[in-house]
Amino acid sequence: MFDIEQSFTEWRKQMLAAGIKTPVPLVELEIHLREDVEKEMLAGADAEKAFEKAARRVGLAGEIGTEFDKTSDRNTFMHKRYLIANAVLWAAAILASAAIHAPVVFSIIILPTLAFASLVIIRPKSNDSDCKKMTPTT
Amino acid sequence: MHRIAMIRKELVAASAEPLILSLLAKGESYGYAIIQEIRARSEDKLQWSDGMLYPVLHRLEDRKLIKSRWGESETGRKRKYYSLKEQGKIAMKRHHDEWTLVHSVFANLKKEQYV
Repeated sequence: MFDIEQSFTEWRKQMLAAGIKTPVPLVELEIHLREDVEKEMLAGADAEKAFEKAARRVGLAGEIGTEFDKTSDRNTFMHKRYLIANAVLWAAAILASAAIHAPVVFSIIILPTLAFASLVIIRPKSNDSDCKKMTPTT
Repeated sequence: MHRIAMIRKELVAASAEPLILSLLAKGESYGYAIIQEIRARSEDKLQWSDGMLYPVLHRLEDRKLIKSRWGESETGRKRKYYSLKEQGKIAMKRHHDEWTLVHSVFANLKKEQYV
């Protein structure tokens, strides 16, 4: 007998094997799949057919994984830019301290300020920080 | 007149960003609804593989053109809603100008019977 939850589990495994990360975006894709399965069943399809049609519409795990990889490549580039910006900022701080023969007290004020600036102000934003614990509703 | 069977893959890919931005300009939406609306508006001729929409949405979000929030549907199902940011409105306007220009050149050529 067809077990729809087992099918969702298998589908998740395929997505994970294709490198799609969890919880996001896998959770988002699964929510989409479940919504489509539900609509198919409401339209009269049995669970097995509904799952097959909806999974086919979502697409092949490998192709989706490749598309998400392009996004990760861009994030890696952004992360590198962030690291370079930090390195430049710190180098400037050290050079400035040396150039003006900064007293120790001055360094205590300016260096922590720059550290704060580099870590907080120019930190890349995390877009999914508020949804790490989300799981799809069945 | 030639009847369009299905829009070619290249055009589907090129039009994804402007269409998503334009749909979100009407108000926030989520992946499943975006797919359904594009299908309905194109009479099923503009077909995206559903899963391919999400990498595009995530890229638009990384570029700060759109933002997202987790919410719930009327039935309690978790959903990720997307909406347009100011930068997205600017990008959408640029797309609109570009596509309008292409369309106008194409339409004029057709009128002059070169196409």
